[in-house]
Amino acid sequence: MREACYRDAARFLGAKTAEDREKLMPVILEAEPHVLRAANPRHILLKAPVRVEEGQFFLAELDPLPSCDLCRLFEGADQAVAVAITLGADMDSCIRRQLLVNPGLGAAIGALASAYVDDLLDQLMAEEEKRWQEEGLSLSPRFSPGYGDVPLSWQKPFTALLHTERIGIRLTQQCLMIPEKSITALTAVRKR
Amino acid sequence: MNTRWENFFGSGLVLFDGGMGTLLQREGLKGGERPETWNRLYPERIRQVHEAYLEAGARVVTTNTFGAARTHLGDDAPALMKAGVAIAKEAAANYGAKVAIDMGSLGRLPQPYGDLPFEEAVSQFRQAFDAGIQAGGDLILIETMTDLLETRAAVIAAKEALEGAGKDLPILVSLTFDEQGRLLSGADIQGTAAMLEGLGVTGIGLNCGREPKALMNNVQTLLAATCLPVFMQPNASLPVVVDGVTTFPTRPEEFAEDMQKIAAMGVHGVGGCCGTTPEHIRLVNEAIKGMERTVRTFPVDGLTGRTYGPCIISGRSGSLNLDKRPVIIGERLNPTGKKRMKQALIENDTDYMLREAIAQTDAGADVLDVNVGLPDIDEKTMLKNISTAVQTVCDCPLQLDTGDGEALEAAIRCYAGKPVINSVCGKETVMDTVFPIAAKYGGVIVCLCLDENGIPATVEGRMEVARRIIARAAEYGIPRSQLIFDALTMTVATDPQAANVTLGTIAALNRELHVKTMLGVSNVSFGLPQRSLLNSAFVAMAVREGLSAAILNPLDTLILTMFKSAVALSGKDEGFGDYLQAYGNQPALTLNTGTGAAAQAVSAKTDAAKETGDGLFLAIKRGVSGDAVTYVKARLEKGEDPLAVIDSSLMPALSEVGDSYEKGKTFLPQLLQSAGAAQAAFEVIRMALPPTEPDPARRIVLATVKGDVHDIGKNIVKVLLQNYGFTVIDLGKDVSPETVLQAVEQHRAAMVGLSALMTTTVGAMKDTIALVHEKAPGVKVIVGGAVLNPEYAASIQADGYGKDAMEAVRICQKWVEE
Repeated sequence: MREACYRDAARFLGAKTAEDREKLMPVILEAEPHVLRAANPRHILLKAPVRVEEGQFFLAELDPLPSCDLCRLFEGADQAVAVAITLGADMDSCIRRQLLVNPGLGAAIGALASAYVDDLLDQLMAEEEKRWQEEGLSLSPRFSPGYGDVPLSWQKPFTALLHTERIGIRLTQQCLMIPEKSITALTAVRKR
Repeated sequence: MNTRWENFFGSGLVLFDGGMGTLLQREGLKGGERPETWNRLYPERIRQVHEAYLEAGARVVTTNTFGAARTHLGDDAPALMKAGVAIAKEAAANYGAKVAIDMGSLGRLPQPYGDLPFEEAVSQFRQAFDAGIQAGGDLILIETMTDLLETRAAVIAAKEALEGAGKDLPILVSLTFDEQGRLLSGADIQGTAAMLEGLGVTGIGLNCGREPKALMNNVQTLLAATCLPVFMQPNASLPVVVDGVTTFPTRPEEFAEDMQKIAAMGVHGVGGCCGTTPEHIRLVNEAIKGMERTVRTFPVDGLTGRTYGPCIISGRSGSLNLDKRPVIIGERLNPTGKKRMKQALIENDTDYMLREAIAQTDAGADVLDVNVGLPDIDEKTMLKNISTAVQTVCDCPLQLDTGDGEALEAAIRCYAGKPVINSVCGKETVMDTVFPIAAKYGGVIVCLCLDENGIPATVEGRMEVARRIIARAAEYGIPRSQLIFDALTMTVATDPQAANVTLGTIAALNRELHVKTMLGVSNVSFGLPQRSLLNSAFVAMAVREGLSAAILNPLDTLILTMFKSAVALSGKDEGFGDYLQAYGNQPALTLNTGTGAAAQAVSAKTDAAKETGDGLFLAIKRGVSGDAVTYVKARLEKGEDPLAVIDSSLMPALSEVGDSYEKGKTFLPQLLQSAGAAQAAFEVIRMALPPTEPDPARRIVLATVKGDVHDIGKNIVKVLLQNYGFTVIDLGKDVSPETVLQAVEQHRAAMVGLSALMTTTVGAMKDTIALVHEKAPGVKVIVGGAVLNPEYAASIQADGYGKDAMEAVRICQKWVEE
């Protein structure tokens, strides 16, 4: 795994300084093979047309969403890259199992898995950005449902658009994703 | 003899239709618009799609009702289902084609993995199938399934809908496996096929996901795993999204060429899924015209006339072929003779049972026996809950062990996979209770060679019972390949010939009746010393006679090694694979016949620990559970008072670790390691203390609130609370306010701890607090979770807010002391 995973995992476990991180490294390194064994990363990437109009955000053929944050992010953009990524059901099962038999390691596995899926998404978006750069375009920072003024309920049409069930992501009635180590995000394609 | 498929479809290759969604998109279906609504809005366009496929040669059309469930369409679902079936029937009538009532996933995962109650899933599927059957569909097609438990709910619903309607239509089930042959939820092809065979479906298919070429291996795997008819409906190709529109670039010619190859492999039916069009189906029709269906031959059970394939059992994501080599069934999830297990069942301590389950599978158990039978226990609820919970942490198949028919049915109904059912015997009432359940839900059945007259003393006596059981099972359509006979183990202490009779029965069952055999090994030594020695020798002798499965304690190293060695010597451990995996690259074994995790030599530290009192403190501080257990045992052996051990070492160690955590000198993993070590030490001390009623002031109900499925934080709080002497009633996740109140009243809890991770679910927290304060005044509520803060906690009338697990424990401690 990349250094960023260890750093983020340590932060999730409460580390504030480099010294704190050092104290946590042994258990994070112990967690690493568990995460790599249980994780089965899958992703879906989708390019879709967008437009912003009078405070409403339009993505593909979804109903318009009133969102100042998305309108600001997508101002001047006519394309979006939508993405969903997951570590799979076995990751949740591994964390659950370890929390029972070795809670400290289980907590570290959970933290490292969160960091890992985030880092995988960063890598995926970095590769995607290289492709867009060839056309003189770049990608904005990513934005996920449930943050800012985008309600979590928007996860429902968003994941339907992405067909996330094809990679095993489903929503609960409250729009929480299962498996838990999953991320959905949207990024604007803009001129550099 | 013709299969049900052949009786319905005929003996040739059956051509199914292709994709519907892509064609409707071309007709203007918008992203996010439900296709089923077009059954009402544009029925003519739907009928034209069906007709195009029928013109192309399809003889099964699937209704435009993939998402016609309540979860997608609300109360409109049944009407849209009926409309879809009516349109398809109208189109099919001119071609003499069959109409398949089509249903896909509900979109939400069933509990315990998701938030949809299992029976709610069954109900939603049932509603859809009821409507489709009423509308006159010819068969049921459950397709594009990616979750084993949801698939089970769908098939049960289909069977019950047909039974309710007095109809007997074929049920076909088609799933989407990845290129490694696994569902997204983890189940493999073999285990999934075993479950579906057990449920009595008519045919099993693979659809969606990839194009034909990429799925050839999966087809072969499925054809080898099941004797049922197999059908294939792949995508045209991998989808490519251009400007928000999904396209499938593979040419129909290439698709048809690959489908011809698949047709030659032995499948009963072919068709297409996403991206396929009438042109694809037309070319497939031409490619398979005149092809004789490749016949797969399987053995036929003489009594039932049914063909049978390999005898496979399965769990959530693991499957096991019982024909291949003898297997180990872990026996420890059973309260008989186990004080701690009894206590765990009475206290509903699921975590303890799960740890025992995990320890057994880690030690090498292939299957886990689950028995929760105790007087005054609600066995029906407990067996279902425990077996469901074990399946969330163990992939292996389970053996559902109960004499209570209702408990068996409740547990097997929502079992993900195909279990072993323990057991049936030669008693008429037992056979009439268990066999119908097995016939409905599927399962390999343990058959005890005893009847109303007791346990026969001779080999022939037991064989006679076995023959009767086989004959009676056949009346329910259950072939002997699904039966596994317990030759019965009696103690040699009272009858020196007991072992010989058992071994002779195993040999006779193999030789004359060609059935699988099982033993509860440890009974043979009851009443004698050094039982492990006798059990180990006995199991080796039984393997020699052809034993298929041994129920034993996998944490007993001696018996485990003897079993694996005997299997290796019997020639049934292919390439010594299992033996080498267990013992290859290891130093010479030092065998310990003790139970529990003490398979290693006692460390030198133990001797030192016996002389000093510091070892336990250090072990807890360092979070080393094994050492903590060793030290506490040593101190108790010396005669030290258990409560003094707690006061002088355990609590001070925990307190120091807790302080260090709160000061930011140590972190959550270390805190939890120490808590785990303390918990292990507490377990030992608990057994040494006389049983006492837990202090009601230290009883706390914990729950993640309604709508929230995150429970890791709650579970961390639980571990710490237990270490600090609290009795925790853990209600799990997605818990309604009413359930929390009920638990408070039932257990006379003094406190409630609530967790929520999402802003959308803290509303449920407020409701729960209000209900508890109203109906159980005096009970204090503490809250925690990533989205909370002290101000919000106060605004929803929480009595306390824990910013982290340690603070939560401190607050609860303070409340006890007040």
